[in-house]
Amino acid sequence: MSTPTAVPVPFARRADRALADDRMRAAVARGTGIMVQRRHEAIAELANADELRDAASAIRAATLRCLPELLARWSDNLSALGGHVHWATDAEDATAIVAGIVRRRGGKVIAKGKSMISEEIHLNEVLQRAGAEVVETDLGEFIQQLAGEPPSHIVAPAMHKDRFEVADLLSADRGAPVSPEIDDEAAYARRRLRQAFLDAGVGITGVNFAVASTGSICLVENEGNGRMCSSLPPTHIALMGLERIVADFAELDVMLNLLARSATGQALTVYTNIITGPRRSNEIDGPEELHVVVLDGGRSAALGTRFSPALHCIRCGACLNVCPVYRQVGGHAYESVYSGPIGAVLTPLLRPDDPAARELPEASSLCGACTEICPVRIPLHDLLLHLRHRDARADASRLRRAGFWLWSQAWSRRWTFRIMVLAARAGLPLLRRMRHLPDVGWLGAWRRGRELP
Amino acid sequence: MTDGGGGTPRGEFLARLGSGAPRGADTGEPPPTPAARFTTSRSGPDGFMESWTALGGTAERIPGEELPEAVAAYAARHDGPLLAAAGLGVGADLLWPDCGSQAATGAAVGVVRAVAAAAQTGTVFLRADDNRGRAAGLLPPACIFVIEAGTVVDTLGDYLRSVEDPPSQLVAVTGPSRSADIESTLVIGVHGPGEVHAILTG
Ligand code: SF4
Repeated sequence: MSTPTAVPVPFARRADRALADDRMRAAVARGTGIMVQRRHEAIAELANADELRDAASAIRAATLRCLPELLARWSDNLSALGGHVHWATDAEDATAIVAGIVRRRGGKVIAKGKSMISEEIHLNEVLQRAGAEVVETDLGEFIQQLAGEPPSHIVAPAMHKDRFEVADLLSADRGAPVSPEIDDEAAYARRRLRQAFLDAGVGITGVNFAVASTGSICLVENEGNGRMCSSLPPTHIALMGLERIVADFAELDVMLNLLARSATGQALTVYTNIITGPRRSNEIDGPEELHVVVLDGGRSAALGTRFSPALHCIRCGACLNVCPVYRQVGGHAYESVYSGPIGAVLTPLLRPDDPAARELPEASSLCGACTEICPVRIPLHDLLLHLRHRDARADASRLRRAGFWLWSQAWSRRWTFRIMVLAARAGLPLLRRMRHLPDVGWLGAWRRGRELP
Repeated sequence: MTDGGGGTPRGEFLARLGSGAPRGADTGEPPPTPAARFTTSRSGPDGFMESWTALGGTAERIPGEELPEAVAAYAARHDGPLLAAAGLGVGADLLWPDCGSQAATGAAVGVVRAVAAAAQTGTVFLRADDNRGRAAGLLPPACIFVIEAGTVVDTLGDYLRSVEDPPSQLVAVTGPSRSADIESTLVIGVHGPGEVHAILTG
């Protein structure tokens, strides 16, 4: 990955660097291809996918129109059950709240589930500086923590690595070899992290949805680490963006039926955890304290503007998987917690004063595949265009070409071509689904004139 | 509450998010919440077992009074103690929560009673209240979920929409613990149980 430097490296340069990393690009091409394929199969199992997507879109829009009422009702309900709700205007606010709870509740070890908000506020650095040992327990996040890198994909954080790189990282952690077999790697992580769950004084997780009518938070995951983090330590802290709320379980049902299908191609994730307050007096286990930190972090500024649909996002990652730019450069080139099309929209909204963030809407070929696949029908490529217009500056035209430039670069590379052909031969009907690719350059001609083997 | 640092008063925070109008105040009605419909229809205990086994779980259906024997037989095929919350009505080597979590994590098999299941997706619903707790269905590498056949509904939505007073934790479990974080390749049994067995009674 590229590390942040005082002089920001332009996106085009970062992209160029990424394009030279054949190993990373092979891993990302493979990962995104599989995820798109699984997503199509899973959506096809729904007889009313379009109706659900329309409803999900309407629910998200209605939610943003009455956020204060929903959040107030949710927090009243959660507080009545003994949960603590904290409101954080920015990253500094949020990290101070979490650090304060950790200090008061003690426990040197913090078991952490996947949370994009924690990445957004750089929570681990703050807690580690305060002397806590923070252990990422999601397998992909654990790998990324060992690598000293941020996640490169919002659903599959270590998508850009192959199993040999993973084995090197795990072996270094273990101080003894871990074989590059994926089952062995997962087994090592299970053993290694189990003690962290038992030792942890605090568990930290993200939140997929909060439910106003009951005061619940809902957390979806596949490994069981989120369930551990929210069940075993005496204190559970959950972090959520202020937009992440639905009115009731009927709305939650609509969202859950789309989220996992769009993300990983599962009907539902293995664990859908619905947490409603801390352990009650008549229950036999569970955390004594539950804290939910609600982050603004620049979101409120987008409300009521033409960009507010960006806050409809349910973080399924599907738009990353179909994005021709993401598929070529991977997540790290964006230098943002959120990469791909949604990252290119969200990052400049959340970091309005950052010139590097304003450049990201250029990292798109405007092919529209993201808009087409988004389960909540966010018009991503329209938003990208609007952002470009908003931020048009003297040197913008150079950057504007970057998307198309990337295209031609990427597709003219020998490896890309070989990977795509290999993928197609392996029976992944990726190219058949890429009808939204722009008909530019030789690729268009090639695609138009070609039947897949 | 505050813990000595950070935080914005709720009123100030919410005031930035627009008017306090309730849901539907602008359009007159709340947004639609259609139930999910499926291209293949699976229902009842048989439908559940079909979905569950497709996910990699195992399942059997027995008369209710044979539950202790069925649990014992499954546990006997595993090497190590059986963990259950007290009052489940089956024999167990370790009783949760008295045994403590360190011992519980050493159990080979856990057994817990589910409150319902959904046939379409192969989903089992676990509630942490009524002395069921959270650990017995989570910590051991193999877990048995006991489901009364009459509680099987069609979908997640059918169950969720019936929940009025959720306990502190309600988990919908859809198959064995898994991950595809390395090379998008499926591995089973990462942190939660990798072996999941459903016993439907009645
Ligand atoms: S913008 Fe849409 S497709 Fe992209 S992550 Fe968000 S919900 Fe998924």
